[in-house]
Amino acid sequence: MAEAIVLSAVSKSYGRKRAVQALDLTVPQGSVYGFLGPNGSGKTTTIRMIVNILFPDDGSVQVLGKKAGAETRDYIGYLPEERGLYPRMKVREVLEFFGRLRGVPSDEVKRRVQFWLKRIELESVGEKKVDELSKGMQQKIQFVAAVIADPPVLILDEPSSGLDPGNANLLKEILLELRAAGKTVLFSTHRMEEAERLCDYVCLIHEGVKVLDGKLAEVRAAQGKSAARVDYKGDTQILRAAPGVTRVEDYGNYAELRIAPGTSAPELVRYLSQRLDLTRFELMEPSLTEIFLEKTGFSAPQPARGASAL
Amino acid sequence: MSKMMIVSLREYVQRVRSKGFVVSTLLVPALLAGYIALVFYLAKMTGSHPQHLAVVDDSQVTFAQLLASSKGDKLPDGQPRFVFTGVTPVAPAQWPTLRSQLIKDVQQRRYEGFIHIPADVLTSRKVAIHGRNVSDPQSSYNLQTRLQEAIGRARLQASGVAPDQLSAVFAKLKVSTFKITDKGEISDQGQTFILAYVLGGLLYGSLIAYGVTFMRSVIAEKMNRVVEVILSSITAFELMLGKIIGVAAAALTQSAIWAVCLAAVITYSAFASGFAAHFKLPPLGAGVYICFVLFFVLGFFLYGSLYAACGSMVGSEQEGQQMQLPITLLLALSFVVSSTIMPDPSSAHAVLMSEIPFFSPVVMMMRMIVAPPPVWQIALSLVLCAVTTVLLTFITARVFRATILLTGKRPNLPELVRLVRQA
Repeated sequence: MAEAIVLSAVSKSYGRKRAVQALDLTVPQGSVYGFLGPNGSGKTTTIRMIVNILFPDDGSVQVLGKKAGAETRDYIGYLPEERGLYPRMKVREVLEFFGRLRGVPSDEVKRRVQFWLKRIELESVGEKKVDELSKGMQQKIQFVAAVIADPPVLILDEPSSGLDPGNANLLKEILLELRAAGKTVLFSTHRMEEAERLCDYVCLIHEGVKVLDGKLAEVRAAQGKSAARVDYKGDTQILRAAPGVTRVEDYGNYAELRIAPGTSAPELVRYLSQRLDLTRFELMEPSLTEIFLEKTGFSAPQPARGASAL
Repeated sequence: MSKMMIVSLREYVQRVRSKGFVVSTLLVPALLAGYIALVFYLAKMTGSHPQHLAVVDDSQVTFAQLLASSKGDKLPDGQPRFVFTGVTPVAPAQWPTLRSQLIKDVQQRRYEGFIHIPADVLTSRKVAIHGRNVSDPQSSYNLQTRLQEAIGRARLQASGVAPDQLSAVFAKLKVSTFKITDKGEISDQGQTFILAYVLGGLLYGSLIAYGVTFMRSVIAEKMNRVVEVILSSITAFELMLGKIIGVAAAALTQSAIWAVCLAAVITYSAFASGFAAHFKLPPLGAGVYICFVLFFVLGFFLYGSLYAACGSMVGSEQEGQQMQLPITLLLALSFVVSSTIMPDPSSAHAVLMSEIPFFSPVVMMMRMIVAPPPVWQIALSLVLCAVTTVLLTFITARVFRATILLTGKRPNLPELVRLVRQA
């Protein structure tokens, strides 16, 4: 499969702060690629270099086989992390403006605006001003601004932020349709559940350095069945003290354990059931969340957020 | 259509359709008309009623001449400017009593003042004016002129000049002014001065008003992150230039509307009929209007790019307000400079100032109207201004490019230099 985006040894610093260090990244064409990392890990900087509004200090960025520059701009539809719409303009005018700016002829752009407003279930807002819309609606409009020119590559920085579960689901559907149509989608998120549901490939960066990347299934398989889900009632400290357990993420109703290699699962079950009211013990590949927490050095569990249906 | 023109078009359409544009387009001429009307009204109000003055003429000959000399002195509404009441002179011993009586009269508003003309006035040339308001320069000047003339008349009459000749001697002088240009002479009652200030002011006012709103729109785009989406489609240079073109076009549209309104008012309005009789637009060559548009556009690019760079550097409008001050002062200076050159628009100082690119749009424009300079000077200032504008636009575009995506702390000078070199 050909590559949509290739980053080779890309580095970028702001003054003394190194935002991205020697990052290699390959996004295959026609894939949905999850770009993961905690807040401030360099995701947005990397994305801005791909869309050519920041230039790397070192290394090269290629989009569809061409060096990132004026030419590759038109290959990419871009949804920035923060909303970027003219608040006092009508929704239809804003979308037409962004379409025209990407070289879509004016009658064609009108047709597409209608199509997309219908697709995102906001047919009636065309003549409203942007700042009259809710944040979630604005986010959907921003998404349309990214796809209006029908670019082969989509770069979405935190696309589901501000969307309720229903709309996040709608966005997921659209992204899968776009993938089916052969588009490449790279999106960044710090919500692992979202990435887990949608991505073919993932890349995790932390403090500007790539921690892991590859096909989602392979990334998880590489970790082996080194995790266990435990439904229980009782003292969490007992889990932490159990022999062979290296990490415990307590989610309240259940906990996810990481188990040291060579630990006997039956023995662990026996140990726990003697001390806790154990209703379920399931060996599994660690979740992306678990991998994320481990690789980025978070010890405290990150509570699952509400709006995360993607 | 190029992408830059799409940006320009959006900027132009949004601006021209905005409430602010419509309101200012309508309101500014209305306010200006109101202001001019107020000035006329106030000018009419001051001294718009006759002044009643008592005259004690010890010399016996001056009072009659004073009446003769002030005969033709009328207020704009046709009333006499001064009404003199003769008071019978008294012996010097009684003078203090009369004097206190007159003072009392003035205090009771019977008169606005009184004049005491001593017996030897023809030789001593001393006259005393007592009044409630003796410090108003305009009315004391008028009164002094009348007294001067009255004493002159009295002296001439004493030396035997016939009364009808007296009137001939003191007949009012009519002065016409003619402006000499390279093309010949035209009559001028100060219209070119006014026109120079109107056009210069229009240019200066538009640059200031639009410069600042332009900067605010750059800040707004930076703050609401639209700029990030746009920069993923076009270069910062195209964005900045596109915006300046759009803003300049909107400003020119507004100025054109005002100019048409002004011309219509001057030509047809009943309000201005009296005014218009005196105010025929001096026939300026088409060159002046072409240069006006050229300087307008150049001025917009010159100052617009400075305001854009300024806006791209800051993180909030308040910060922008502080940062733009030097630019606005520079612009204001060009208007100050232009008023210093008006009295002598061909002096070396004036020539120099009109060649300095930051001043030339306003200063050269005003020089061209008041006293057309040689063509080479106009050409040179246009070229200098254009070259500076192009250079500056390139530099500010890099500043814009380097700083527009920065958030948080404003870069200091060394950081800025580094950023600009990287961009």
